[in-house]
Amino acid sequence: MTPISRPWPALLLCAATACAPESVGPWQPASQPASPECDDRCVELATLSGGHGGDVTLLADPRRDGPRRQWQLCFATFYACWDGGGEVPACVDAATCPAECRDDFAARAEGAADLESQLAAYRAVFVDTGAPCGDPGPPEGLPL
Amino acid sequence: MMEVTVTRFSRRAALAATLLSLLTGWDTRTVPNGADNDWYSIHAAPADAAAYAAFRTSSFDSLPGNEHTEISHYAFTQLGWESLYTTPVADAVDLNAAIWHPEVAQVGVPAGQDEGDDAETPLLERRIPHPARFTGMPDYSYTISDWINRNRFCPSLPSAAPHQSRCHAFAGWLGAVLNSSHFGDQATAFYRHFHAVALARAEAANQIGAAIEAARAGGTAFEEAEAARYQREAEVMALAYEAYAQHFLQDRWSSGHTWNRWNAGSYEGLPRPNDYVVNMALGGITGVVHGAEAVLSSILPPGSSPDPLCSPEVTDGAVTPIGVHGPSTSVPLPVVGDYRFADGLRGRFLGAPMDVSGQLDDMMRCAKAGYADVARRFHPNPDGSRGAFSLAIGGAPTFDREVSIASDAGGETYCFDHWATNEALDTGLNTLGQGRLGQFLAAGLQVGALVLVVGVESEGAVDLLTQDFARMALKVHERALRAPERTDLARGETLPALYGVQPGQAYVSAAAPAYAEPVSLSALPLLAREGEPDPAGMERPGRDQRTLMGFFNRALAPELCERAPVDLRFDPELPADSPRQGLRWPAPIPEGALAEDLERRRHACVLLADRLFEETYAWYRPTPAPYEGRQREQRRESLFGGSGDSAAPAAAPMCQVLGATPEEARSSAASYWDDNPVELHPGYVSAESGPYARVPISGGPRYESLDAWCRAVPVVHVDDEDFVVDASGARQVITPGFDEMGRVSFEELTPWVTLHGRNFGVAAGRIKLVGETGCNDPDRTSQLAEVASWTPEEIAFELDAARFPPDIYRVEIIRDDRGPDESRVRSVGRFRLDVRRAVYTGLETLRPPFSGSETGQDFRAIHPFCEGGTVIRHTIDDCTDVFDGAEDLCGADGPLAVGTRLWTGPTPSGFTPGPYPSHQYAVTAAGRCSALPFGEPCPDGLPIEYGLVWRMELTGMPPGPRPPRRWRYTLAWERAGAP
Repeated sequence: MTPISRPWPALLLCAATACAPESVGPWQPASQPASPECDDRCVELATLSGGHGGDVTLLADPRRDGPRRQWQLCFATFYACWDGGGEVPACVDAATCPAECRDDFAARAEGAADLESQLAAYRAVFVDTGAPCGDPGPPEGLPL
Repeated sequence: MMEVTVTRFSRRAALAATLLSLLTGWDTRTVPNGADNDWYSIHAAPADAAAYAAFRTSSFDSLPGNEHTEISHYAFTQLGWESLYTTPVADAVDLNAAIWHPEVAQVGVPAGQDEGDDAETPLLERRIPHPARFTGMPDYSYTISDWINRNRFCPSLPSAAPHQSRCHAFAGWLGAVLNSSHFGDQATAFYRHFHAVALARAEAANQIGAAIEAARAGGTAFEEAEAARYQREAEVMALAYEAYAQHFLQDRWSSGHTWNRWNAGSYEGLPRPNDYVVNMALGGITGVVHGAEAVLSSILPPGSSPDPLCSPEVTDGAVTPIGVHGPSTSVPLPVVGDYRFADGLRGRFLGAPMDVSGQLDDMMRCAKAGYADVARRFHPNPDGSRGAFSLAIGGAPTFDREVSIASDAGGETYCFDHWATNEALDTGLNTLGQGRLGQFLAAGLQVGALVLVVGVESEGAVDLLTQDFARMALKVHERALRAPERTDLARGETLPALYGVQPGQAYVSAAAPAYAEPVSLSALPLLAREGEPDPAGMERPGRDQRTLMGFFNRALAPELCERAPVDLRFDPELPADSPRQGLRWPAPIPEGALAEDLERRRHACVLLADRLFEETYAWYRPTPAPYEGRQREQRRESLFGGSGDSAAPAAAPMCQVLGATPEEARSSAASYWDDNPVELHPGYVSAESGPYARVPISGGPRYESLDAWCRAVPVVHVDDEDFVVDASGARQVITPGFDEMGRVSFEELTPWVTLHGRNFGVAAGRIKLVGETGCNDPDRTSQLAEVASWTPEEIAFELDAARFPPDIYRVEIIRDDRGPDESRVRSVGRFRLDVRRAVYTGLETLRPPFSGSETGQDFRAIHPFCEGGTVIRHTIDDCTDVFDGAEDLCGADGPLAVGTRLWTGPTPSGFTPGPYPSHQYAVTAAGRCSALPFGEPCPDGLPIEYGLVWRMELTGMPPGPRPPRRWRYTLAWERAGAP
């Protein structure tokens, strides 16, 4: 992996005060404010430069450890398990999610034997708008 | 925390797949080194005949993998259309790049490549690709018009759209954002639209074929080989549109495209048109579902990372194609997509059996139906085949019921109603090569938050993994588990919106996208220029009739023929260098006109005028009629690749063959386009080169006379012997010193001559008169006449008979303005001025005392005279005592003549009583100066002088003063050969 220095787009910029650590629901606050630049700590994971496809780059920003990344990891670890054939409750239990979220799910899914009910419980806790462990949204300034 | 084990290498590949998500449908090979040259990709495929041979012999291993093109080659092979590979199609001379969108000519071809251009000509010659090659086009150009314009403009976006520079980038507007049109219902809609365009072009090709046959049946002589070129190009254009359309039909059969991806296929339909980065992210996620084979194979060895939906699932060496359902399938039909066409033909993948023959058979039936229905519109041949390529259509599939069901004797296929099963779509989303999406996301998040940065200068960034994404992934997997063989996800019925954007069926519109060519050519604006206000508000530079008719100028020859009175005629209301300006040069040529621009216009003009030219024609006469003189030209068959010579059989021009000669080009028309190339003024035929001379022009030699017409050189109205005529069409006979009755009149010694014609310009230039017998030697006297007045169609000048004695003169008009070579514009034609006879005269006063001897004294008079002339009058008149003001009547003819005729020649006579009683005189010699008994040489020692000598002798000494005497001596002669 190649550390790179790359200026962030303007959309990602935020003043230090605006990006101050702040907790959102069950998610832990970011350990540090967002940097105006993705400096050499960012890791370029994949790039297609020039050619037919133009320039598209996927970067991993290790400094972003705030709510959005935590929720993503929570979902991705659940999804990887479920997609791998696991049952929904078991996969929630195994996912990298806050304990209170897993507990909330367990409470809602208690007695739900069918997939539809289990997924309804999952969505209610982790996905739906206003869900207690739902997506906290992007850092300020990002469109998605 | 779940343990996820991925190697660095495979993780990179998987993440790249997530990012890059190439959504090409069947693969299209593009030229390397960037989007600037992508338009050239049409030429990147190997030889067409080799592809045909490969399919004919089932040598699928030799296919290079340019799949869209190859599928069309396969269809042509199955249809038996070998003539598409053996019949040459003439190159295009791209008038669009020459005139209407000259920016296109500035777009180069990739280094080391060429497109058939002849660097020696000012126009752009381009190969017309084989129809099959147009099939891949939607992966690098928006439309055929866009490709013709070498992707120079952006037809898909209004000028206010963001990131215009990414217009043609595949990981930009063209692919990631707008290629929803290559998926599901939108692909169907796009095929239907462009198939309709192809059928309309096929009907136009049929009309060309019908016109040619009608001309043949009507006994019109014309050049069959040239006519066939027009018909073939029209048919190639129709097949090219069908091939372009079939990209969407083929994509509809590519497994990765058998679902409705999110978003609209045109900018106008986008729900979030200004959120470029969000739209890009949607393309990225679509790419995950579609399959990322293209990216993976750029990192891994080909075939090592097959990725559904396009590739089969590979599990423990077993190959399982994904399944689709159509209206007639009871079990899912196994299908493959991008990169797997040849594998499908071979029936094997990664060494394992793979049977997708049902898919390929159905797809090919649909493809053949589309092509065959286009060919069915071509003009029928007696043997039942169609068009100039004699394409066989018997037994070929057809869409005769509706453009969705292809049928033939072997059965029928619903071509646009097969959808990936829920299970397949789930496989597409969650399978990345040999890994799983969830695992890769989780692994990547261990490194850091995943941020997708788009664009060369970081145009924006998004997090791919969001609440919307989670909703979508959950639903897809849920439907796969609960109803694996249903197709509600692919149809978009249960597939959730993503980032507020619906699956593609929500954006299917009956209307074609704004960038598409309409079915009817006339629905396009004539010319849509970049940066110019568009009255229709479309803001689509290059989406216009000019682009198509400039490139396919044989296929669209009827339109160009009919437009000729506007397209060729210079419009003084427009700037000379405007792309909307007529092709013919202005007269005068404005100062500062670019030579390069003029040259391009000249070549383009000649190329089009050549299709109109029928014969030299004296349209300016009271009774217009063909010109039958020495300069006559008549359209002839081409010989030696040129545009005919006098020995070739007469041949109607293509506009006449096509029945498209503009009515106003006939002198019988009420609003006649005078000075046109159909009825060509004979003054454009070069006097120096003669009739049927040719000049090199882009695309081949053409009549030099048409080149002169396009340069709008001056022409003078003449009769069939090329003598200039007056306003009534009568030959002008110039007789200085003679009145209308043919009588000598000294009031008419310097007559005015008026030339009538065209292209004289507005500023006075020069008139040069050169005698055919060499009488007026330029070393001795100026050959330039004294111009009295000058207008664009009339020039008046004085004919000074002293400088221009009786002879036949070649008239040359020299305009005041200059051409691109910096020399003044000159006429080239044969314009003759008949100065038939002239009178020369002079009054002389003889004043005594004479200094002569008792034996007399010689006097002499010298007038111009030319070799071969005939003296018709030679007189001496005594004008003594003629009152002032009447001297011009002394020695003249007519009832008012005064004076006393002393001698009438030309024969010398004996002595006659002279002016004084003590004198006598005699004319002792008349004739050429050099032969006269002068004691000194003729003036300047030149031979053209004619002399007269008379002698006076003193016979006595009378008393008193001797008054002066006034004598007029007069010579009249006429040119050699005068009637």
